[in-house]
Amino acid sequence: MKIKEGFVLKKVGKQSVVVAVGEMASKFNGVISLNETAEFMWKNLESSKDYKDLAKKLMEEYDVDEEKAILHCKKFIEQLVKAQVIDE
Amino acid sequence: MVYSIAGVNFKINLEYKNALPYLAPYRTFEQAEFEISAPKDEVESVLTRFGNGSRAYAEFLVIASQISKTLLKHKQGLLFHSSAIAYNDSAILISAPSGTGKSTHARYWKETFGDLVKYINDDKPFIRLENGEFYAYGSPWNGKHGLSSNARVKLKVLCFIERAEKTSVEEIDKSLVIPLFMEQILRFNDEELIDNLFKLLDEFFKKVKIVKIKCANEKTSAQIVFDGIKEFL
Repeated sequence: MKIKEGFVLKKVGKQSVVVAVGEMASKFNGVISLNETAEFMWKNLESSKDYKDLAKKLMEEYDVDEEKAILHCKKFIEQLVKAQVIDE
Repeated sequence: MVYSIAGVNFKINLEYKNALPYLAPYRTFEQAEFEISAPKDEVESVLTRFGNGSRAYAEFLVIASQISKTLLKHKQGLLFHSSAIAYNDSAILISAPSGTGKSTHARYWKETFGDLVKYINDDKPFIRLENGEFYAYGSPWNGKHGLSSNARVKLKVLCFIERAEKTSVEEIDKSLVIPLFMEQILRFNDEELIDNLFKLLDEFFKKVKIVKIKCANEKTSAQIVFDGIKEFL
């Protein structure tokens, strides 16, 4: 899955956020807060084909059952698509 | 003419003279380190965003933004939209979306503590990291009440306030702080500036106490908040 050009992950202490830079900053005003799981999902978005693929990686890293992992990943991706952060 | 804003000397070029009285208290005869003008496209952009209004005021706002960007690029500082007051030698920033009651709360502090409280800036103070400490500075951009002073005070507490029935001071959910903070700074796209911003935020989190305040619109709220944060002042 492709993250659109202009989004960067920034960390302050233990807090992670995604902000827009460059041209994207004119379109995207917001700040996306990522908890630990979300940060992991973000970092593995581009190397994953779809939400199932991402869920697999999530299960490898965290002790979470398949149903929950798929739910988390699906929801995360849906939110990012809605916010126009990733291409569908 | 050269002005000292946030402890840095700027030569400010203005097309309109309306801002001169506001800038006057910041005049310096020292050399300028930076030169600032308002790019025409940014002035147009401000005018469009605020549905027209005075070109002079739009220029004034763009100058603030240009200074903020310069400070962030070179001097570990930036403009932070808030009401900044000083209690003795400690600065407190009161932050919230417009209309929440920042100015009102600051006024309650003044009414409660009298001369112990001074206004640093009621709308657009600057903050800057100097020798490992954060300082709040007054600025010519002092909002509709015109309350500010050419002051430099060590910054101790940042309060994010929201309206409530009863006043209380609380720990803030750390995951909310960055978005809340970013809502109150002027926007920019430059990746280097964003990098600098996050480096500054990193230091800010370590040095300045950040709290959430649920605030009732009553004069007594000032004493309650003071009692809640005095250990940090």
